[in-house]
Amino acid sequence: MIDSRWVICLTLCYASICSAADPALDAMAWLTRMAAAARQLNYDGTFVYRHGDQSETSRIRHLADEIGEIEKIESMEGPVREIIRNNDEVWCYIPELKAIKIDRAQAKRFFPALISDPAQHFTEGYVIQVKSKDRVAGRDCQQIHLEPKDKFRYGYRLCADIETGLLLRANTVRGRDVVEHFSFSDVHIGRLMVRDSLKSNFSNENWVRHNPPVPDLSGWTVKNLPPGFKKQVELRRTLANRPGPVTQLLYSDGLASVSVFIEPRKGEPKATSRPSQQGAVSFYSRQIIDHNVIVVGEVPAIAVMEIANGVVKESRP
Amino acid sequence: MTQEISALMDGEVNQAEVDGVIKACHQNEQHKEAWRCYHLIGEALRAERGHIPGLEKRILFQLHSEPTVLAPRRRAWAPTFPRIALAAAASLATISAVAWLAFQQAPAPQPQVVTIAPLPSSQPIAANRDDDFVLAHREFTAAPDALIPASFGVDRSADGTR
Repeated sequence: MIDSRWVICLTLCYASICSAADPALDAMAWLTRMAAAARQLNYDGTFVYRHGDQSETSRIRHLADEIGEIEKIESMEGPVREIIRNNDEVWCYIPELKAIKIDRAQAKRFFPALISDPAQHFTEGYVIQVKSKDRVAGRDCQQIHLEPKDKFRYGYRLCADIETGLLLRANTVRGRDVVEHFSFSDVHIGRLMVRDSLKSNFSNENWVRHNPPVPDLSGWTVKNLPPGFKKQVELRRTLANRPGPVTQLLYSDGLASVSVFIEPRKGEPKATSRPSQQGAVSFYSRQIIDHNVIVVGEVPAIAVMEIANGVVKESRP
Repeated sequence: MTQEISALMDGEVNQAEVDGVIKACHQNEQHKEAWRCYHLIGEALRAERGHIPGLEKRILFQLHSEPTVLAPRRRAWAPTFPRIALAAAASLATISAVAWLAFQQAPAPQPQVVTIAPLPSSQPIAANRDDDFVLAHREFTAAPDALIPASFGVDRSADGTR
């Protein structure tokens, strides 16, 4: 009897011949693969992050096994910093303060895990295209471009490792300008690692632990959000140099994220300023009734203005 | 019987035996299944069967969506000696750590009052008060400068410098 594997094989051969027929689907598959690769692979590398006129180099080690994910990021320049992410819990070690800042990774992601599932999420805001091949950190990679569909977000130029799907380089672009840049300078993918090697370098006895800000529902919301933006989390937190607690609403379209801060106003209202910009980050503040609204995000200035203008207080049920 | 079914499909069965083979296919579930399966294969090979819309795309999407997992699996046949030694070492460390923690926690609990050390000058300090919001936002971005503690003002106010 003919082996049924033959039938499968024939179907697959046919499928691969047809693969070039649907570039949009191919691009989506690349994004899905990037998201999965960042979670499921072991990797160890050094990456550079450039933003405005600043540049930082960090080392990342990521291990995935039957227990889950563990990741260690260390700053290679400037102040010593260390982040250990254990699945959803992020511990940030700040040695000069003898402090550990603990966060939930619900809305947080580190390079190269920039792409989150499901990839379908991106189609509202971006046109996704598979471009030519390139090379990053000595590895062949496939360029995927995300062109913004409107003026409320930047474009993204990604390059994913052809062999494994891991994101190797990500540029945020405004027209032709690169406003933000992540790139591996060196990476090893698929090496055997032991969990012990991802432990903190610091013996953190007597270090102070700062717990994450608490999730909250303040009743504030944003009307007429730009397409594709969805609320990720809402927090009530205390910031340095602010008189009282502040509400933070975080929105994201899958790549770009925007924070809306709301605090009760003290003193006379200020004149509404023009939005300001540094690198990829735009900033805008305005006053409504007796509150200050501050919007910050890696989006064009028009987007922070639009979002700030949509902030309203919903009456609580 | 499967050989006879195959032969029947290829028209290589004697007229006298045809009835028997067809009857067998009709009565026996296993032979009926073989009959169906052979026809399916034949049709697939001759590309007669109407193809399932989107099947190739779905298979391809699934294939492309899965990363090539390079993480080596732990070898089942690895010599057990070093692993046992490691396990012992790990458990020793655990015990001593637990003992140490118990010892440390025996005295009165330490008050959670923090003395904030002056930040090193190399750290990009908020140039104006708006930068606090930028830093608080950047905690949620992929940028490694997210490490800068924006919400450490909590402790400043706890210190009474409010």
